[in-house]
Amino acid sequence: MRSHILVVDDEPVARQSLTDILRLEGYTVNSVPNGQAAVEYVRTHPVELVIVDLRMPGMDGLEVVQVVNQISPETEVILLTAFGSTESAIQALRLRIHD
Amino acid sequence: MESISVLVVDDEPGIALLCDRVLSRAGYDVIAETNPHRAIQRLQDQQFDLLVVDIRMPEVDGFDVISRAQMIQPDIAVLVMTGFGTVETAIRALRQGVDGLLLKPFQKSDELLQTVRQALDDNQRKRDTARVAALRPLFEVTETLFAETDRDRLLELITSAIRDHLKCSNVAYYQVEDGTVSVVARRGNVLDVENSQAAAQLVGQVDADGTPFVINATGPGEAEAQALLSSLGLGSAILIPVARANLHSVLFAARDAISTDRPFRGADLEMFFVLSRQAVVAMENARLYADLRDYIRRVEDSQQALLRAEKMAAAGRLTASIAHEVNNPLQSVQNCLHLAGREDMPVEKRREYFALAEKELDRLMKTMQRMLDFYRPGSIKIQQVDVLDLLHHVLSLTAQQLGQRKIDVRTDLPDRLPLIYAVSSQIQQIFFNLILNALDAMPSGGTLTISARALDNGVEITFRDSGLGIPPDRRNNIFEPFFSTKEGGTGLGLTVSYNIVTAHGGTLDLVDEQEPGASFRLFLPLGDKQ
Repeated sequence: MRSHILVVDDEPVARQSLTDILRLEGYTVNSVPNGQAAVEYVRTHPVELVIVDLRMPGMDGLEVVQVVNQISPETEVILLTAFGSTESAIQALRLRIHD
Repeated sequence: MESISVLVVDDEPGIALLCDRVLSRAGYDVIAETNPHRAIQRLQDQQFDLLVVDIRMPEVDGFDVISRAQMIQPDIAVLVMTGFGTVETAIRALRQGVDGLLLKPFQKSDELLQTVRQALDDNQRKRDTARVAALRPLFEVTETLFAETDRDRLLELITSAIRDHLKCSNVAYYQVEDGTVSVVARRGNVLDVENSQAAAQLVGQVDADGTPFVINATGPGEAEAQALLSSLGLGSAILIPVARANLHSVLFAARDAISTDRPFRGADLEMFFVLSRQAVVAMENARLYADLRDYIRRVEDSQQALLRAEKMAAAGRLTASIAHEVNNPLQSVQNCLHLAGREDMPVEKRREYFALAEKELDRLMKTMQRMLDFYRPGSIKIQQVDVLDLLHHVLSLTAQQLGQRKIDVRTDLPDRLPLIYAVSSQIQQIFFNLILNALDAMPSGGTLTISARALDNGVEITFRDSGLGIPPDRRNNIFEPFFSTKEGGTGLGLTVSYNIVTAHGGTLDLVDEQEPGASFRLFLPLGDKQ
């Protein structure tokens, strides 16, 4: 089954490498460089999973999670965080996302 | 008015008596001696203003009497009487430094009185001239003294000045505190206040009296003091007390008792008096300078400490960003290497992934370098820095926080800016500070606009936020230390930034704008290697 995944990360190499890996695993992957674009995409496409970097300029990962939950509650979101601060983990759990 | 005392010495009793009568009637205090030896004894025992002496006496040559008198009482006026009116005599008299010449027999008492008056006046004038002459070099000396701010060197200068100008080889600088006398500097044979009760008492007494004290080992004077002097092999000494505020000093100068060293004269006393007071003030100055230097050093030390504290405070807010700056590239590198390692990957793609990994690692290393630069204490190397590069670095470190606060960062930056000579870590610190300030000013979000442009002589960067702004009554104080409108701040961010900017020869201003928010304009000159 080919799931539709959306990768959201402002850093090009991170975005590309993650996208490529997932594609090789057989997934259909698209990527966008920022939160705004991610929201737009989810609004107009059926996405099963959003993998979003926590820290981005403009709309950050947490906000993306919130908006996506609102406009497309059936979409799962994975929040990628490069720093394991307890605070953000708790916040993430509260919004019920996978770590 | 004190009457003037005269000693008349003439072997002819008739003359002696006549002079006595004439001068006594005129108001002088007269002692007449026909015996020159006894006359010299008189000189040892009491002070005279004038010596009237016959040159030709059978037992003792009048000139010898004069020499002795000038040794014992150097300021005494001398009037020579002679029945021998030769040019030779006159010349010899002049050479001896005599103040008047009177031919015997004199016709009228008036002649005597006039000559006496003349002699006294001339002597006075000579002494005044000597005083002025003695004081002139003092100006130069005091200039030198006041220019010296090192206490030990100053003491050295003072003792040398006293020795040179007073022509003596024994000098001491005493201090009296709570009844204890101590010696601060000394040269030669001086009153040993630390081991001799009598010496300490003498100095203490001079301090208590507050007036200069002259001692001559021979001649009229205080026996005890004279004995002290003699025991030290000293012929004459002057003690000058100078009391200022809570510091009491006594300066001591003494000449050896050998025959060639004449006792101190009035002019010497005057000069020493002035010199002592200058010396003491110069010492005070030196102490004040030392205190000031100390104070400045402490202020500088605390400034350094504050700079570090501010840096650390800023650093604390960024640990999360640091982790991100390091871990993200590493994750990308891991991904790329994984991809490059896959056997089903075509060669060109593998190469591409390796290249990407390399690029990310490069980026990571640069970031680490910049961070090390920033956190390494005391790295103040001036080098050519690319402010755009630093700006982007700082922005990426603060991006997460800015994002969280919903601050929209807009940049209006040229592709390149001229490199400037600066201390990289310090410039970063300014950027951190200004950006974090903007962040704090916009608790519910807003816009931070950063623009930059190259000027002829440097670069200009403007940080504009749409936040709470700075109230007009505070605009003047924002760069002051410990002035903070936010909690948990050191209140030093802008101060430190301002100091760094100034040290680089640049300017940091709060720009007056109409719209809400604050706008900081930073100018950094191109600078040079130094």
